[in-house]
Amino acid sequence: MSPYALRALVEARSLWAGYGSRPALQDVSFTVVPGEVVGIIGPNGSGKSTLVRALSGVLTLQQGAASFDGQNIARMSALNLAKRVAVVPQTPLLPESFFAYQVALLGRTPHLGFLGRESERDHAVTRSSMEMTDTWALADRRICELSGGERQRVVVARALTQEPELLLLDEPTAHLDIGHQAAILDLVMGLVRERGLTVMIVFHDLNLSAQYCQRLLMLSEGQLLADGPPEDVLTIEQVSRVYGVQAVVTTHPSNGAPVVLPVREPEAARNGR
Amino acid sequence: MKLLTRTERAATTGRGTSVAERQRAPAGSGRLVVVSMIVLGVAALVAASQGSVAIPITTLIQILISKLGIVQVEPSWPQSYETILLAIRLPRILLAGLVGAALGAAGAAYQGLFRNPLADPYLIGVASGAGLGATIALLLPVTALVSSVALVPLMAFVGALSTVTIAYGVARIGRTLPIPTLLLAGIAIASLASSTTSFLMAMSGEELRAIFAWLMGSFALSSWQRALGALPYVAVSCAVLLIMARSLNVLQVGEEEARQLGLNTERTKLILVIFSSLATAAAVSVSGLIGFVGLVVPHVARLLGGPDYRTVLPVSAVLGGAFLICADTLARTLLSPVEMPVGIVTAFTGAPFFLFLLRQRKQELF
Repeated sequence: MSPYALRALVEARSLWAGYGSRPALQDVSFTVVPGEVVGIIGPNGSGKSTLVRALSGVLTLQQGAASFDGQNIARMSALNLAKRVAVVPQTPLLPESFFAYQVALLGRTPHLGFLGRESERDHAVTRSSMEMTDTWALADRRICELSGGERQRVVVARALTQEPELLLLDEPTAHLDIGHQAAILDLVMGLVRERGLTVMIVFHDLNLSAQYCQRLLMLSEGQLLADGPPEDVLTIEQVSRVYGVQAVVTTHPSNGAPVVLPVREPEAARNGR
Repeated sequence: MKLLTRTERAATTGRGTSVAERQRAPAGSGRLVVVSMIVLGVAALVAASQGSVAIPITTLIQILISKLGIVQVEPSWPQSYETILLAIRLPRILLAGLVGAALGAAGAAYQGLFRNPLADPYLIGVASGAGLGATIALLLPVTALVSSVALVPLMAFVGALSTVTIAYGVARIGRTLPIPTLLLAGIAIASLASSTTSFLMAMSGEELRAIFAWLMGSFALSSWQRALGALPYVAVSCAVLLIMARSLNVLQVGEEEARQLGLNTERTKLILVIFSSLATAAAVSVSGLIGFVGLVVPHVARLLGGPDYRTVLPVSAVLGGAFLICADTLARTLLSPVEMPVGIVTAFTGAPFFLFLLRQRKQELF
């Protein structure tokens, strides 16, 4: 079945963002349907985080429009957007003296009434998302006592506490060890399967992106260079052109996903370059 | 997406860990507010009994009960006690309590808004504007009585709100208010206003002493009229700030993330600036520039009850009131019959106490 037979959840139409001779986003267009897991890859400064900010309504676009479920994101209130879209930022800013539980509970913000009093259900959702992210044991700890990886998992818990339809993760595994990397990504995949969550993940690690996503968006200097399944995006030509590195692409021994391995310069020279 | 599945029943019926429990039923913070209110009540009673004429606390309570018409008590006390209590001490205590509450709540709100532990209610020009307004009023060729009773509070209030409005106008870009720009604009306007005040003081003659006394802060001119005039501003502002307490919590993750969490950050910042400034302006216009309360009391509240603004704000307001009532009582009794400026007492007593608390603290404060 073609994904385009489904209603689009996210639609980016010719996004331009930023100023100057090299705008952060240049004419970026794509569509994401419900239940998709889309990886966003590209070198440093290619516009990955800018794209996440544009889709979460905190960035003013120069041209074009991004819509969520048919509504222009720029015209949606922060409240209405946050009820349905949650973000895990790359470097979250957290109040050091707050308890982890308080931070996770902030995810209920868009669902609370005028006086901001949390109900039993709000606390139950918070506990549930902390248990899922393996942070319930940290609930009583202050943020300043947590490691980088623990903080990141608390922020993932906060995003899940929002009960979103679309989850935007900006390098969520940057500070995590290999075990927690897999745990967070497997958790997200589980939510996709069980609850139809739609996910867009910025990846630093190309191989991790190929393992978890059916579809990759490759950005370079603000432009969308490739959009397709990992085996079409992660080709030797595209990886070496975009990242400026000699690489070989092989396949994962257990699931056949592409695996990108950098090649050291002398070796590249020996291979006829 | 609905997260509640099999864990739902367990989470709603089972007992959570202590923070979760405290958050769910914030009895701990509620208890702290009640304890603070008892402290406030005791401070007010002691303040009412102390002075040039000492009134025993039992007599004091009897007078209050009979005046409130709760129980008919046969007066066994001199008539002068009633006059001293009702006409002099009670309005003064009420005013000190209101000013302390306003400065405590506004200080907590500014610290949260600027995400800066050094912020105080005077940071963006309220105090300097009030000082300039009051100085001009004291230099105007009107009788001292008109000036001190009516003109000084009015012009201090106008001066306070003018400086904040200018700072706000300068910092605002379109519909957004960048907080660092507001801070810088406020500091610039504040130094402009205070240097103008200094210039006027240097040029003044015999008014210098009056200006200086006003700048140090005093409750010597308290009256029911003045206290009841400040009451609505302080009450409304404190009520609004309490409603904004959770939004202040959300702001602590930074503006961009706060928006991603669904907070209308521009509206939140505007409400916080308006009502913190209004409370502070009302406070300084009736009492002068009393320092230290708005900076230190919110930190004491944090040390006692943690960083959640839903605790910090009410506790700051109540303890601010209690602290200023105590400070004013010391100011008028220590060197009696001479009165000390209450701002000196707040710094003299508050600073060592705060240093002691800082040494005692066991975890990250802000």
